[in-house]
Amino acid sequence: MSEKKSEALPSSVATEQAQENLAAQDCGLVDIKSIPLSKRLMKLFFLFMKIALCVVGGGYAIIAAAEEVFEQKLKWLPKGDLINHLPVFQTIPGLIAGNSAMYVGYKIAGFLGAVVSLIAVALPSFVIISFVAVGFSWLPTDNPNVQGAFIGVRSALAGVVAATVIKSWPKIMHGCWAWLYMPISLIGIMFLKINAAYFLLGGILFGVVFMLIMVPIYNRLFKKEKEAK
Amino acid sequence: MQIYLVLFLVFAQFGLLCFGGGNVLTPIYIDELVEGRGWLSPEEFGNLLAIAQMTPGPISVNAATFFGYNVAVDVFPGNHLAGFLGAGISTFALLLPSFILMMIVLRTLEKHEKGRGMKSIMWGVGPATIGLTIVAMMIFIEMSVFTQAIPWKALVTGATIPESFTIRPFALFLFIASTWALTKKGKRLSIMAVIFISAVLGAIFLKC
Repeated sequence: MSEKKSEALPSSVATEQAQENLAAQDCGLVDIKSIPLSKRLMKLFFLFMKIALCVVGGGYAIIAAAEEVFEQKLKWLPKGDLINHLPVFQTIPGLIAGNSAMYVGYKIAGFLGAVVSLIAVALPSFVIISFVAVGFSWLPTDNPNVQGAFIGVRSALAGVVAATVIKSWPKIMHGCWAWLYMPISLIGIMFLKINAAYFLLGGILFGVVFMLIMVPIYNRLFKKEKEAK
Repeated sequence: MQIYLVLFLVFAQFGLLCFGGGNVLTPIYIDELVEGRGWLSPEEFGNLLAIAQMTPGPISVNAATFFGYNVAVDVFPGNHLAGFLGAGISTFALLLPSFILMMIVLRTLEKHEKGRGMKSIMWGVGPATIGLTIVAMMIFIEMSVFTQAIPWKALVTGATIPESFTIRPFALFLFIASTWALTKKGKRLSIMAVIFISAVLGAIFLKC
C-alpha cells in the first residue's frame, strides 16, 4: 500500500489516468467475443426463460428486466441500448418481449442467438398453456360457480384493457390525425363490422405516405419559396 | 391435415397484425375465430382468453397456444397429441413474421438512419391501436357487465330493448374496481392478483 502511494504521489496526472482506466473497465462492456459461442447461447436461453417466467406484466416489464440483466449485471450491451431501440420493438409487429429478446440475442450471438432467445421467451408459456389446455377440457364449465368465476374474470379483463387504454392514451392521442383516425377505426370496427386489420394497415400506409413522402416534399417546396423571397 | 395449414396461415396473419400489445388482437380474433370460421363460440372464446391472460407470459403467445390446441381438439375430438401439434403450429406461425421482419431490420438498421421510418409507422397506426383496444374492452364488457351484446340499434332508434339484455351490477363493480386498482396512483395491484380476486368474488357473487 505505502509503496503504491509513494509511487503514485509524484505525478498526480498518472493517478488520474489510472483511475480513469479503472472506471472505464468498471463501466466498460465485456468483450463478448472472448466468451465461447455455446456458452453465450446457453446463457441467453436460460436467462430469457427465467425472465419470461418470472416477469408478469407484458413487454415493457420484460424490457426492464432484460436491461437489468444484460446491461447492468452482465454488461454485454451498452447502457440505454434497449430503450433506444424501443421504437423498433414497438413497430415490428409481434410481441414487444419477443422483438427485444431477438435484438439482444442477435447482438450477443448473431442469428442463432436471436433464434435461441425467441424460443426461450415463448417456451415457458407454451408449456404452461399446454398443461392448462388439457386441464381445461376437464373443467365442469356448466357448474354455476365456475360460470360465475368466468364472468368475474371477464369483468376484470375489461378493467385490465381499460387500464391499458388509460395508460397509452396520453402517449398517442395528440394531433389531428389521432383524433380523426381513432374514432373512425372505433366506429368502423364496432358498428360497421369492418375487419380491424384494414384499419391497422391503413394507419401504417398513412403514416409512411404522410411522414416519409408528403412532409419532405412540403418542406422542400416551402424552403424553395423562402429562398426565393 | 388441412386444418394445420389453415391454423398456420391464420396465426401468421395475427403475427403480422400484432401492433402494440396483445389486446389489440382481440377484435381480430373475434373476426377470424368466432365469426369468420366459427371455430369457437363467443363464451368459449371469452373463457379461453381469460385463461390466456391469467397465465404468466406474453398474452398473444398464450392465446395462440390455447386457441391452436382447442381448434385442433375440436377437429380431432379427444386427441391431445393433435391438440399439442395445433398449439405448436399456431405459436410458431405467430412468431414467424416478426422473426423475419426483425432479421431484415437488424441487418439494415446500422446502415440507415435509425427510427424515422419506425416513428412514422407508429404515428400512423397508433390511433387505430387505441380504437382496437377500446373495441376489445367493449367485447369484454358485453360478455360480463351485460348479459348479451349491447343493442345499439334499439337504443338509438328508441325501439324496445329485448328483455334478455340486463346489467349485472356486481360485474360492473368488478370492472370499475379493477380499472381503478390498475391505474391508481401509488402502489398498483398486479394484473394476476386483480384477475384472481375477481375470479374468487365472481364464483361467490355472480353464479348463475
